[in-house]
Amino acid sequence: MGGMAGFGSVDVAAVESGHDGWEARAQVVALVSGGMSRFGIEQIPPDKYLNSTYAERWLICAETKLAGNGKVDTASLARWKELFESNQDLLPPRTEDAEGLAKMKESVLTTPLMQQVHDPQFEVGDRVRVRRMRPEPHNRCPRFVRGAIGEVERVPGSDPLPDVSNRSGRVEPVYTVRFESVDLWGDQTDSGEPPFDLLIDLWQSYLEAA
Amino acid sequence: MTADHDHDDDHGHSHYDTPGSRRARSQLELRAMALEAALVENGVIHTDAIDFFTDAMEHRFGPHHGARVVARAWTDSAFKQRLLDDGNAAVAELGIGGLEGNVRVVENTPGTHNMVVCTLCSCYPWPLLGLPPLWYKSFAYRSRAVAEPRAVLREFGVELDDSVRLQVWDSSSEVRYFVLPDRPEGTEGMSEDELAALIDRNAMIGTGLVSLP
Repeated sequence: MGGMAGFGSVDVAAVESGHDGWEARAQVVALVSGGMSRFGIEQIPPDKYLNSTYAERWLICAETKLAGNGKVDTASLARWKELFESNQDLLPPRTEDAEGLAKMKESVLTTPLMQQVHDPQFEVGDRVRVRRMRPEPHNRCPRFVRGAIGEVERVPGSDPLPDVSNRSGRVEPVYTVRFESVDLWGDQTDSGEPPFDLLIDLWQSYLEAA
Repeated sequence: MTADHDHDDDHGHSHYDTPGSRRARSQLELRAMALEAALVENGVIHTDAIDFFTDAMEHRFGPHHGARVVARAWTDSAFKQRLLDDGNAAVAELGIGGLEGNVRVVENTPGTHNMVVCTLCSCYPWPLLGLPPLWYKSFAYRSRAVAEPRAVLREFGVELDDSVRLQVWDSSSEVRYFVLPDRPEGTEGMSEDELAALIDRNAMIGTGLVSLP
C-alpha cells in the first residue's frame, strides 16, 4: 500500500491494542498451524482487508486455510466458540509434546540467514529498472517501484522467490536498490517534502538492466 | 538474558482473560480461542509449543535488547563497526537472535537519518524490538512513510532539517532493518546501562530521536 492516499495521519500514540495477549497468541496459533502466510493474508478480498483489524486479518486467513486443508472443520470451530461464549471459565484444552517443544525452541531462537549469492546478474552500483508486471496475488514487488530506475546498493544474499507462482522454490539473489524520491513521486519540495532516498529489497527476476 | 534462558513460570493461557476478571470476551477473541481449541483437539498443535512461542514474542524479545545493542555500539567503537558490517554476528555476541532477526543495522548521524517501514505488511526485527506497535501496522504509516516521510516524522514530533539526507528502508525481503540512533550530546560520561535507559523503540525504527530526559 506504499503511496496510497486517504488513510489520514498516523496515530502515534497507538502502541498496544489493549488486548495484545490473545492477539499475539492468535498470531502464533495461526503461524504454527500453517494457517498463516502473507500470501494467505493477501487472498482476503481488498474491501474486507481494508475493513478488518490486523488480528482479524490473521484470523480470517487461518480459519479459511485450515478449514480448506482439513486441519479443522467449521462445525467444530462454531461448537468451541459457543462453549467459550456460554462459559467464561472455560479455556482451550492443554496438550504437551516434548519433541515438538524442542523443535519450536530451536526455530524461534535461531536467526534465519540468507543463502550465499551465486552468479548474480547485477553488482553494487548497477542501474536497474523494476519490471512492469501484473503478478498473481502475492509477490514482494510493491507497485510503487514498478517501472522506476534505481541503483544497486548492496547484495544481501539469496532467498527463495516468495511469489505464489514460484512453485519450484527457485532461489534468486536479492538486491537492495536505492531509488530517488523524485523518480517515484516527482518533485514534492513545494509541498514540504524535499527529496529523499527509498531503499528496498528486490528479487532478481523483478529487475532488468537500465 | 541469553538465548538458552528458559522461562519456567506457567504463562499458559494467561493470554486469554482470566476467569476471575469477567471481562466480556470479544467475538474475535472467542474465535481465536475456538481456533486454538479445535487445533489442539485435532492434534495439529500442542499447547506447550504455543506457550513458548507466545512468551518469546512478548517477553524474551523486545526493545530492551535493541537498547542494549545501541548502548554497546555507542561505547565500543569496535563493536559498532562489527554491528554495521555484520549485524547478526554482532547481536549474537550479546546473546540476541531468533525468528525474524536477520538484521541489517543502519546508522543515523548528524547528516543522515534512517527510518524503517514495511509497506507490504508488518516485517519487524522481533528479537531486537519485540512485537511492532499498532501504528507500525497501520494503513496510514505503511502508505505514507515511503511517500511523505518528513510529514510522517513531524507527526512523531521529529523535525528534520531540509539538509539532512533522509533514507527510508522498506522491509520487503527477509532482511530486517534496525536503526542505530545518533548519540546525543551531553551523554559522554554515562554508563552503558544509563545510555540504554535513554533509548526507546521509536528511535530504533527511526521515528524518534534520542534525547536527554
